[in-house]
Amino acid sequence: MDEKVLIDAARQGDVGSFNQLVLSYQSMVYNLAYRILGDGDAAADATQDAFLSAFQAIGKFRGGSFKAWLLRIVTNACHDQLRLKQRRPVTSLDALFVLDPAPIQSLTDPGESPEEYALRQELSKAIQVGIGTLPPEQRVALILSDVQGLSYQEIAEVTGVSLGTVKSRLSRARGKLRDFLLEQRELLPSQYRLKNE
Amino acid sequence: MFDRLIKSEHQRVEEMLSGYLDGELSPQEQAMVERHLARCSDCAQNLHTLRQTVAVLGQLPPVAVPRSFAIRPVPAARRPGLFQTRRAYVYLRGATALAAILLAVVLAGDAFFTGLAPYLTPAREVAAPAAVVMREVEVEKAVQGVEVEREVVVEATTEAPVVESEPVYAATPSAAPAEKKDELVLTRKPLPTPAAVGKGIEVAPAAAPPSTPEGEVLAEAPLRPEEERIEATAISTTLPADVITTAEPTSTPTAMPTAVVEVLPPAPLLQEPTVRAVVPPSRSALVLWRVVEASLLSLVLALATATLVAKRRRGAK
Repeated sequence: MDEKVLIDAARQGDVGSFNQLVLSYQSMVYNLAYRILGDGDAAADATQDAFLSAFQAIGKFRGGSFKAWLLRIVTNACHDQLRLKQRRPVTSLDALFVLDPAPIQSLTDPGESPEEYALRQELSKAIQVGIGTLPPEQRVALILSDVQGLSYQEIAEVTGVSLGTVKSRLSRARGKLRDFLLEQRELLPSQYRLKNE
Repeated sequence: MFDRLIKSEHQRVEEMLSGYLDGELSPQEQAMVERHLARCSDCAQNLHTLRQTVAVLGQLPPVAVPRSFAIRPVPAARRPGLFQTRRAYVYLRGATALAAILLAVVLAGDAFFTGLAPYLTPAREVAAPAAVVMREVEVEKAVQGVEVEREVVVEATTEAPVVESEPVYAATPSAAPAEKKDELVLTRKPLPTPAAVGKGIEVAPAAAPPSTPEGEVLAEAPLRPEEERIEATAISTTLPADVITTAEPTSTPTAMPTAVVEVLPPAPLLQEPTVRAVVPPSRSALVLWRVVEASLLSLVLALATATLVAKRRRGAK
């Protein structure tokens, strides 16, 4: 169904149409929340809050990128969760064992072997620890760009900052994560370890 | 010197590597970076590891959605029902308490006055159908001599102490005539003490010669509190006159026997105001009283039930 039609219907108060939109976007929203917060329960709360806020505020949506508008609501909900639970970045190795092991679905490779699946699980955990070391603004920029694949412009729209700010946040985030992964290269499966040329 | 102030090309390139990776640099910036990379192995290394990091991030497996996040329409907040608020419960509780207290007061009052019945009986028996009794006594003993008078006097005056001692019931006795007679001073007190009664007995014969025969007769008899009262007032011969002040304001002790006799005929009529005043609630008043009690009781029960309902429902909205 055409997204615009669904949005217009949702603006009239049609919950069914809005829930069609929820169905389309909930994976992206949940993943964003999960990567920012590093915790499945917090991510679920943020996701639910975000969709409720979106439905209540849909009258204010003026057109343009619905995705960017929705993700902005999600990042705000994540910031609320961070403030609420005062989540500290996960820095120690022990955190790897404490982290909520969210089930990972392999969307891209159904033929993936169990070993490969296990490796991807390990990678996910390690990366999440590294992301947890970043300050929230850098974290958001990094995930939106390198996990969600948004452009600089879209990131600027979602976060409400200038292009220059997006660039510098992203640059710093990538550098920090790179340094973390170099320091902790044992965390990564060998094939994923950063190698020097 | 200027080297320290101006950011080195190396530093600037380092900051631009991320943009360079994404192709976000302007052509001039891009050219500068590529020139630098050719000569700087550190920056080349930096770029390499950065590129790997971005690649690893891109390979992160998506996390499965734990449940559906479809929103449910929030049911419109209903106005709480009649007995569902906490406030309703509090008010009902207070109203029940008030009604119960009121009922208790009414019942207590009823019991109180009912309990006084024995004390009121003589007067009631005498006063209520006082006219009839008076006439009967009069008829029965009309032919007799002094005893008639005496008995009548006794009967007539039994009311007096009651009247005097129950100001609630009594018609306000006018003070004027009474002040003329000393004997009345004693009997005017609400409940004349035995001492007062004794004094009355002693005083009376001296002050009221005609009453002497009665006084003597009465003094001989053993005195009980009620009888003392009665006799004390019997001695004060002017008392009946006082009771019927409207009729005989000027009657004197000397004229007592006659006064008493004269008093009799109009007594029933004249006694009526006091009769009414003395009589406890009449039949219609009793019925009304019962109706009030029954209504209050049902009100209390209804309020109590409503309170219990409200108590269960409060906060249930």
